[in-house]
Amino acid sequence: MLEKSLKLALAGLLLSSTVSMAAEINLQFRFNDPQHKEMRMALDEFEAANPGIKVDLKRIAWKDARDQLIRESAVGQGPDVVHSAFVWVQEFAQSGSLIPLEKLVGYSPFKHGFEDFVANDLTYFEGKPYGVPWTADTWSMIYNNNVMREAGITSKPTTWDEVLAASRIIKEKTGKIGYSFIGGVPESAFMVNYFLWSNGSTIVDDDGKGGFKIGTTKEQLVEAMEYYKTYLDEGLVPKSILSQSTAHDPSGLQPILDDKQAMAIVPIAVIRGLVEGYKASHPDKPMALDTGLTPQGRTKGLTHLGGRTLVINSATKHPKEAWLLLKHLISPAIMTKYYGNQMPATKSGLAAIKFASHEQGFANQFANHTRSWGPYSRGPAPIGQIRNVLARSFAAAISGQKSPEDAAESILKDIARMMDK
Amino acid sequence: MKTYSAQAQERFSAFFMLFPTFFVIISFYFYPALYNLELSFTDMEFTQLRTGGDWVGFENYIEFFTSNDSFNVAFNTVFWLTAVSVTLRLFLGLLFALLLNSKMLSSLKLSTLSRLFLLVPWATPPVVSVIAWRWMLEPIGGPVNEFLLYTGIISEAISFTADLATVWPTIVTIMVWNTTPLVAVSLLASLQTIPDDQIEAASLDGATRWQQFRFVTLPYLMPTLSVLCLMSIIWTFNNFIYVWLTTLAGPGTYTNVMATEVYMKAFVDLRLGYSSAVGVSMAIILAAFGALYFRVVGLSRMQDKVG
Amino acid sequence: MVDHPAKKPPSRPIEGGLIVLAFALFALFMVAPAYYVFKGSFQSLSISIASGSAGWTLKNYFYIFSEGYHIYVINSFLVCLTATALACAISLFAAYALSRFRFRGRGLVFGAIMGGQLFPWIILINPIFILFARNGLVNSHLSMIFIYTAVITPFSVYLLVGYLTTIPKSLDEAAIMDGASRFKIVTQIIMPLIMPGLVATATYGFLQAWSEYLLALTLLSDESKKTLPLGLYQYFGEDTVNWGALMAGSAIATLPTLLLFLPLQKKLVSGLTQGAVK
Repeated sequence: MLEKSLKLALAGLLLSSTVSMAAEINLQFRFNDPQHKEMRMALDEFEAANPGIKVDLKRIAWKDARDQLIRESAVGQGPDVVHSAFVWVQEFAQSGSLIPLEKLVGYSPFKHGFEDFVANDLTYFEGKPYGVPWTADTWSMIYNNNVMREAGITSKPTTWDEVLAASRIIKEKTGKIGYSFIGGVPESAFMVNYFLWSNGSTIVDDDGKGGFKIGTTKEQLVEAMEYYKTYLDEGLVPKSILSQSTAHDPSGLQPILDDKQAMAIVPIAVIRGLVEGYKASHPDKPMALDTGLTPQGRTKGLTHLGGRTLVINSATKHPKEAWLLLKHLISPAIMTKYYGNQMPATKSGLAAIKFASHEQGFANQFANHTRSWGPYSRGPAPIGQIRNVLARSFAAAISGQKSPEDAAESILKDIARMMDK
Repeated sequence: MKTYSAQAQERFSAFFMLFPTFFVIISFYFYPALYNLELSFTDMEFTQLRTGGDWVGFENYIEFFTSNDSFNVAFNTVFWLTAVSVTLRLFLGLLFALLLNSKMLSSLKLSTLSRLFLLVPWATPPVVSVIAWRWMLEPIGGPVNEFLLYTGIISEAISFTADLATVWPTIVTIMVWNTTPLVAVSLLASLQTIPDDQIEAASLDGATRWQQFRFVTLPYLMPTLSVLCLMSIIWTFNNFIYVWLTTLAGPGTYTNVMATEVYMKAFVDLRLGYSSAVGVSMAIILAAFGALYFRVVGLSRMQDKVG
Repeated sequence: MVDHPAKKPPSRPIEGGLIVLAFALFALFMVAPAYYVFKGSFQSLSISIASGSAGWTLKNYFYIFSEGYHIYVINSFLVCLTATALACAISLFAAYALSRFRFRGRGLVFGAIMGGQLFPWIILINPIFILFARNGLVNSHLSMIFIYTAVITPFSVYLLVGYLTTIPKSLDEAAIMDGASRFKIVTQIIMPLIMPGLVATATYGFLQAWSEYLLALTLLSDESKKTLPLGLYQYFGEDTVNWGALMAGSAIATLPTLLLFLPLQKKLVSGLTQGAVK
């Protein structure tokens, strides 16, 4: 009753604000990467080619992007075309926020078919794809060779233990940072996963019977957290890493540029950003930055095959035009011109890439040392929540708020609760 | 007949004058509060916004009261967020009020200036306060670290919001900075109502400065102080903004308090039902302080004021 | 100064020194953050890959307005002013009714209003978000106006009741004799008389709405609808923390509150605690 009267009172007044609708079609595209100037040019090209359609470029930081879309789509709002991480698509589809591709390809099909896209399994929900992979990505090691040389380290460390040993030497001989990592919520979750994967365990696994199980143990989680905690306990990294929440955070990048840090694990966009930054701040000097494989544990080092997808909001009033825009954005010409920091998420596109010499390590990682999120995103626990739980407990353990044992237990308890649902 | 209709008319007026306010209070306070209670017994998630969740009885409450993290959350809320910050705020507020009231300051013609200084943090919105202090304490380029490094007090920049040793004091500092002026100004107003002859009489009796303060000034301030104290407790206990904007309840969950837990569980972890249960638990604790507040302030005295 | 020494020179120089020192510390603590915000807003402080040079500049202000900061400013003024006006209007009538009529349940009504003042909004964000969302009312300025009206009203009623008690009831009675209705009395006799009180109440309400963050965070996600505190904080969300822009935005967000506080601080204090203490 109350709800109704409230609704009536407000709805009446609302009407007046929404009547002013223009005749031309207005689309909204939300883009989360820093290249918004370039993307604006890509949209201008689209507008020129499609008179009568105007596109608004909206921006949001990656760290808010998931929560934002879930919140908006739950109430039938939000931009028409949305930039999403690979792993969010299923969550969005589950909450009814997306238009399935089968409906969209009805307007016009893909040139090389949906099979040309990498990691397209992550866009499936209940047997139907909901998103188009746009960029492909993984994380690899980045080195600053000047710092390594200064500490007298000639060969690149290849295992977690060697990385730690090298960091100790660097600290001792130069007072600088060896390997540093993200300690804050949410991207610290990557750090835990990489360590677990390279030691043969995983948070979520297939149980072989079509269901899912937790693929790690308390001991393995404790090992991971103790490894990272050592860096803080021994003062090998500054405490500020605890508030570093993403790989893009400048507080984590500046030391690499300033020749004050030797190693980190970062995604390709950051590698390229750092290389540009290094060239700008060290003109006439040889390139000191280099890439390599992430460390091995008991098995080989693995990172996730990730990237960005484009999805179409089920609340859109112009699905056909939104689809047109999406296809414009994924076209190779537009991507090379305006989004060159990233790699396309198509097999045909990737095959055409020439990596620079300092990117060879990354290229090797990308081709041979990646895995898909697979069971994480197919399983019953929403991957965004797995990430949050993992990242929070990890930060609690390495900062000393909790013992690694307690943190590991609370991770297992929370994941189990989510998988029960 | 005529008096009856006049009375009816009065009733009619009273009803229509009160109705809009009453409508607002019922629809934006009472109804949502009841709905929140209902939510707290469901497992509603964000993805079920249109359909609603299932009834789970006391499951959310049991989870909240048995989880290890909840102890941390409760401790942070009661100790750091509320006890420490309110105590500091009242203490500093009193100190500032006494300072501003001192004859020395007015003889130096600094009274107006100091009132103006007090106004600056008071007029600053909380968001801006957090931004200002985060910049002050920033490890790279922040004035505090620059100063400490320059003077050689420290050799490596302190990450005030990342280091467990400094993160709570940092949040408390921001809160105290932003909210002390209200306390100080209120106490200053009370101080100025103390008749001079009382103090003079005390000093003629040979009372020391401390005795004057303890037996003359403080009793005068006590009523204001206790109201300020309870108001501060209630406002602070459920405060969300300082913790959330300074640390997002981190590092990890180190600075998580009940208010940020409510927000995080609902809008980050998308568990609306559980979050509502935390909210209801919070409301029960607050209701106790609320009752105390009404006792101290005196609802009846409120009504006397109404006349 | 020399020919007119202070009446009571500091009896103990140590104490005088201590007071001056305390004053210096007090001034530093109170003003330093604001000083650095102001200073920072005119400096190049972008901490990012290959950071820029220092020096006095207006570019932070140009930058935030080129990024659409004025939209937040306009939104905030629109929402806060309308909500304040609405709250004052309904509060004035409610306060009048509470101060002039005696009826059953009057204590309860007053208690509810007092309770509203101390109400923890954090507890209501879930139900309010759900109820608004289901009815398509998120991302709407109108919802924000209503909700801010609800936030402001209880305290406004409380303040106004205080001011109304200072106006003798005989005025009303005389007007009734002349045949004026109660509504006419409020609008034509009472309102002009308590104008100063109404202004103070409105100011306080406006300030409350102006710095409100939580409800805006919950109900607004559309860039074009966001209010100032929300829009301002977003400069943290970018890949680089643009401190200069944050400072410029902060300075602009604080200016109106500072200007309103200056003339009204004394009134605000008395309204805030006097009623409760006396």
